Amino acid sequence: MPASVRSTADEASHDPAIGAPSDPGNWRLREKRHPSVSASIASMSVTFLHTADWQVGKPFASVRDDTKRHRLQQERLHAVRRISEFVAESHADFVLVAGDLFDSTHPTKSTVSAVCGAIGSLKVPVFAIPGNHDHAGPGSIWEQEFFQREQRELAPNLRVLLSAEPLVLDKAVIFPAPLLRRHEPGDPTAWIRSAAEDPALPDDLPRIVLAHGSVQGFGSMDDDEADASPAVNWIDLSKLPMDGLEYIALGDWHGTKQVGAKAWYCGTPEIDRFPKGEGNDPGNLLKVTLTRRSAPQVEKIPSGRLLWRELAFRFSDDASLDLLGARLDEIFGQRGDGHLLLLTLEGSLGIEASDRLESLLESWESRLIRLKLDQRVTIAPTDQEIAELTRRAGDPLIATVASQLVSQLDGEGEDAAIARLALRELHAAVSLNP
Amino acid sequence: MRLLSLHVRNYRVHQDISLTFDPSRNLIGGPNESGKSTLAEAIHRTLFLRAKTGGGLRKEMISTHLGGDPEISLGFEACGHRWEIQKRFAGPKGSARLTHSDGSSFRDDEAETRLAEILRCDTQGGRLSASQLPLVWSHLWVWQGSSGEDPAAHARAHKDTLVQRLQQEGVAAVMQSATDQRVRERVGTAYAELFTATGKPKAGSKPEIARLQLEEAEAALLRARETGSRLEQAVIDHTRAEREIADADTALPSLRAGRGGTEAKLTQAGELKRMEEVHLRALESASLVLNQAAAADTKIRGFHQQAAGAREGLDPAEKKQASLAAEEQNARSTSETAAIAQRQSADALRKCRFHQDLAIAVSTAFEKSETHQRLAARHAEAEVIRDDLNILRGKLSQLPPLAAKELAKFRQLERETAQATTSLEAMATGIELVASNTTVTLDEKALAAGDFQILTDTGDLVIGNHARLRIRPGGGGSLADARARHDSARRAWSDALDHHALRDLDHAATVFEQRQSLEQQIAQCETRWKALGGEALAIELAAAKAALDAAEAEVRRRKEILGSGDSATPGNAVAARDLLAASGDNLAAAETAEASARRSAEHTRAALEAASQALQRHCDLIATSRQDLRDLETSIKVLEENHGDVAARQLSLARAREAEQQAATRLAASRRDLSALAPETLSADLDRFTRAIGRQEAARREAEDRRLTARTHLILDGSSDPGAEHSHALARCQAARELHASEQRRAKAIEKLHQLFSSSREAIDRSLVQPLTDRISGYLRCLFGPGAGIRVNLSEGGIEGLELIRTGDPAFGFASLSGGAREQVAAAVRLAMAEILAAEHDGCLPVLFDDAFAYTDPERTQSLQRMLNLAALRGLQVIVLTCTPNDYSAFGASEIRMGG
Repeated sequence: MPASVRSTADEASHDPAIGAPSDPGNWRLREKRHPSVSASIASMSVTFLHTADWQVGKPFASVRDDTKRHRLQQERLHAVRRISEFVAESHADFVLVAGDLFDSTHPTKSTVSAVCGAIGSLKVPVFAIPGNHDHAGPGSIWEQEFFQREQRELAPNLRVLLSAEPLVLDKAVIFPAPLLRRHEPGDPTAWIRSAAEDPALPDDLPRIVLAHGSVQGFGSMDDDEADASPAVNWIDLSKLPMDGLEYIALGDWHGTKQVGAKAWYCGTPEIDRFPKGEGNDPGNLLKVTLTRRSAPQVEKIPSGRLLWRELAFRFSDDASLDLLGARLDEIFGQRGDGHLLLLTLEGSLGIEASDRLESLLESWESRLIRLKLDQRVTIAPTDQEIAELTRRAGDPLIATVASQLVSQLDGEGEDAAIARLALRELHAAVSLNP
Repeated sequence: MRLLSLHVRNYRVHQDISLTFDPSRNLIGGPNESGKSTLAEAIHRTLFLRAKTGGGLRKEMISTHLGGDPEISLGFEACGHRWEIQKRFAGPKGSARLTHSDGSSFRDDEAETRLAEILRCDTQGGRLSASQLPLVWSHLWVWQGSSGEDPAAHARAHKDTLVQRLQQEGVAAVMQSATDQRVRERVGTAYAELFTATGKPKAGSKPEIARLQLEEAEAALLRARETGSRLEQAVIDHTRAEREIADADTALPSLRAGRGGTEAKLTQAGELKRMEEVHLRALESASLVLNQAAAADTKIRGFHQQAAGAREGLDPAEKKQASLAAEEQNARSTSETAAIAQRQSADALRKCRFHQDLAIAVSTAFEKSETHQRLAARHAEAEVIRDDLNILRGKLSQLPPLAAKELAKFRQLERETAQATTSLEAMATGIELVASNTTVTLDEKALAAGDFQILTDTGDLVIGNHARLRIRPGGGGSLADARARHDSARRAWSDALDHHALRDLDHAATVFEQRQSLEQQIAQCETRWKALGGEALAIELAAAKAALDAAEAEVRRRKEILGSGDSATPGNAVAARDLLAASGDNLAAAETAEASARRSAEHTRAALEAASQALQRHCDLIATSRQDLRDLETSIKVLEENHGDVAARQLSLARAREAEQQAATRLAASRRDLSALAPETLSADLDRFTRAIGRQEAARREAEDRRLTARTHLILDGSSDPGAEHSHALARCQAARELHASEQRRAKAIEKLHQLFSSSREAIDRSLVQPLTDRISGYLRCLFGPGAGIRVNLSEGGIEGLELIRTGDPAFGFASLSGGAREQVAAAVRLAMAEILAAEHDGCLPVLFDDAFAYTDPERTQSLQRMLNLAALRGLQVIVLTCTPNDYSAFGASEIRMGG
């Protein structure tokens, strides 16, 4: 039997994600607190916000600076809080979160409290399923007593759908496909193929599938998921009874992406990594309006604040170093606040120029929230630098040593690298004033 | 610079001496104390000691016997010109003048300054001059006794110049610059910050700190991974436990149902088992009833048959008993007849015996009577003889008992007494009173005239009233002894006679003969008496009397027994003997008759006994048979009372058979039902189900425990996110690894730089000293042959040590060389250095050896001269001062002889 919010309070209160049995009528009461739900009943259309992949608590461990790391983590929470503005603007009946609210199955208490607090501020019902990051396996966050308490107190509007059964709301029917483990070996939406045929379900309400996983060509973008089989958490859209469904709300892919006539990845509301691939469009929410047996109306709402930029630069000579400096100034102005940069550097620089490059990078690393450097620059002394070191009639010792090092510079091996470094050290020692 | 001439005045031993130097080879010879070393000193002081120097140095120079200030004039070539320096050492008044060949000259301080410039060496003066002076140009000036010093010290002193010269000379060899030095020091400092003296990474250095940080980060990462692994394991455990619980829940209901079914069947089987027991017992009791009835019937029938048989057997037995009784009666009468006959024969035999006994008694009485009469006659004869014997014995008893031995003793005693009397009389004194008018007494017995007295003992003779004479016969003692012996013999003799109451010897002999005769007669009588029987005869006679009495008594008794009827008694012995013979025959006949009768009686008695026994046995047999029959009849009666008659028994037998049949049918039915339940497998099934259920329940409990444990592990305190912690640890580890790699690379770069600086500097130094090494080796080859060479060890301060190399020998350090070799090698080094330093002095420098080869043997002196000559050929001015100038004849030097 599908669970229904339209049924009696007693019936609904048995769902552990809603509240304890000692709290009867909890859900019904909440509905009354959100007049927007009942206001739209007459039109038989429903508007909601589709979001996913908040991944609050993401460590950003590669950011060494504590403050900046904290900033990145906080921005994810701000993004959730900001959803309330879009709820208000769009008059959304509820919010659907297609998995990965938390970055981990064991978030800290402060993260749990913060997320519950942010959800509570959304003021409309929030329906969420666990994703692969916060799956509902044994010992998951969803069954932890602390979470349940915080959810009751801070986010009574949140309902985590842990069972694969239809949920009948006043204005829609939700078919949740929660992940009960990190790698669900089959299609988590498989059950919907037959469940949608249930005649007991109201036929006049738009039907929404809420799922987390990969579809053909799009899937998990996690670096640490690379080893997972492609069949894992795989949602086969072609097997779903699309005629009887109005919208497939997907999570997992961090870019906003339509993957079918009715199927969308909303993407993450706040960008959390340097974008990969063409057409990747993260940092959005989707506002969806549905009417039974009509095509969905989907509107993309940009919600991200942080700017994740990419720049590739190739040094043709030492003079091109100045060009890089100018380019960075051009992009970020004098301040890099709110920016993250993946900088790929190639080419070759002389010793002196590479020292200057290091100074430049030091500055930008400090200014930006993050400077991720893909440093492929070869530091090779220029002919002039070589001449300065080797052609020293008055300093036979330096000249001899420099000549020997220069003879070892060629090649990609460790010895050559050491020789280059030694030459830099020699250059520095010679350059120092007596 | 080259010395040209010298003029010395008032200097120590030299009053005034001039000499000219050869440009190349100079030999100054002279004996000890001839002033050679003084000249060397004078030249040296002229060049390097200020003229105004006073004090000890000046005093040394002043000649003690000549007086006057020391004055020296030295001509030399330098800086392309000829010069003459003149110095007068007069303390503060001392003067110096340097004259150029062009005539210009400098005086005093100016001269000293100019000279120092020319010589490129400061002149000495003042307080320190005494100690410093000998060191100036000491590499060229080999003072006496210092030739064996290590020349490396000189090389160090002149390092800068040497290096400078060598650098100018070398092709690629260039001395490191100040920049070189500075950079090298910087690199050295950087290296020292990173590495220890032994080249190991230095504790506290950046790479080491980075390494420690990396280790720490790796350990932290490991911990974070372990935490993650524990969580993952807990998830796995939880999942597995849930699956196991589900499995158990699936399996348990069917197992429990199986156990219930089996238990029901077991109950049913138990019931059936009890029924089987009941039926079995019923069957057994029915069978028992049937068997008992059949057995009783059989038994009764058997008894009837037995009784009939017994009755049939009893009749012939009784007939046999009657015949046996008759037989017994016959035997009894026969036996009684035989017994009477036996008694009669026995009486006859007894009578015969009585007669026999009487005959014997009578015969015996006669015999005894005869014996008694014979003995009585002999006894009368013996009594006569005994009376004679008693008379003889009476006579003998009246005589003294004297034996032959005693008679002999009497004779002996009589002889001895006679002998003693004789000897006494021989000794006695006879006194005879012839006439006297007065009384004479002898031993108070008055002697009358004519009285003769034999005096045998001491006697007192008193004459008148006044004379008393004591007379001692035999002189005294021997008379007494003779008297004693005489008395003793007489006493013994008289005692012996008295003992036997004899008068004398003759009497004794008569008695003895009488005794002998009597004793002979007695012996004859005794022999006759004994032949008649002696003492025993009386006893024998008494015995015979007694026997006779007894025999007569016996005869009387026998007669009494026989009675008066048969009282005819024989009158004599012959008749008695005849009677005895006749009765003996009667007796034998009676005995034979009695034995026959007795045998017959015994035989009949045995026959009677046998017949009686046979009869008794048969009677017993019949009695037993009759008793058996009675018992049998009783039993039959009892059995028939219990089991009824034949008809009744047949009826009950049929009923018992039917009951047994029914019980067997019921038993078979219950067994069939039981076997259908297969009871033997039921309890095993129950065990199996119980075991399986127990295992499933235990597994379920265990799984629940594990699920609980896993859940406990999965519930964290929420203070940290293990996933995030792992990411952080990973990132920190990565950063530490990068830092470590970067620091490592930098350390390697610094190390490489340091190595290159060291090796390059060494190469430079080596090429720098190569010309010096080559030159020294050139000189050494003159001394030690073509294979000789030198190794110059370099250090921060310059030349550190010298090693002599010779073909076939290991390298020897300078200090380990012999005294001779040391001064030769030192000379070679000095010459080589001088050669190089000479470049600053127009290619020539004077090298002075003052007795510098004191340890060198004459043979080596020859090669030494070759070396000195090579130095001269290479442009040096060699000055040799020696006390053995002849040794240097092959040097080809300009020679100056002193003191000769």
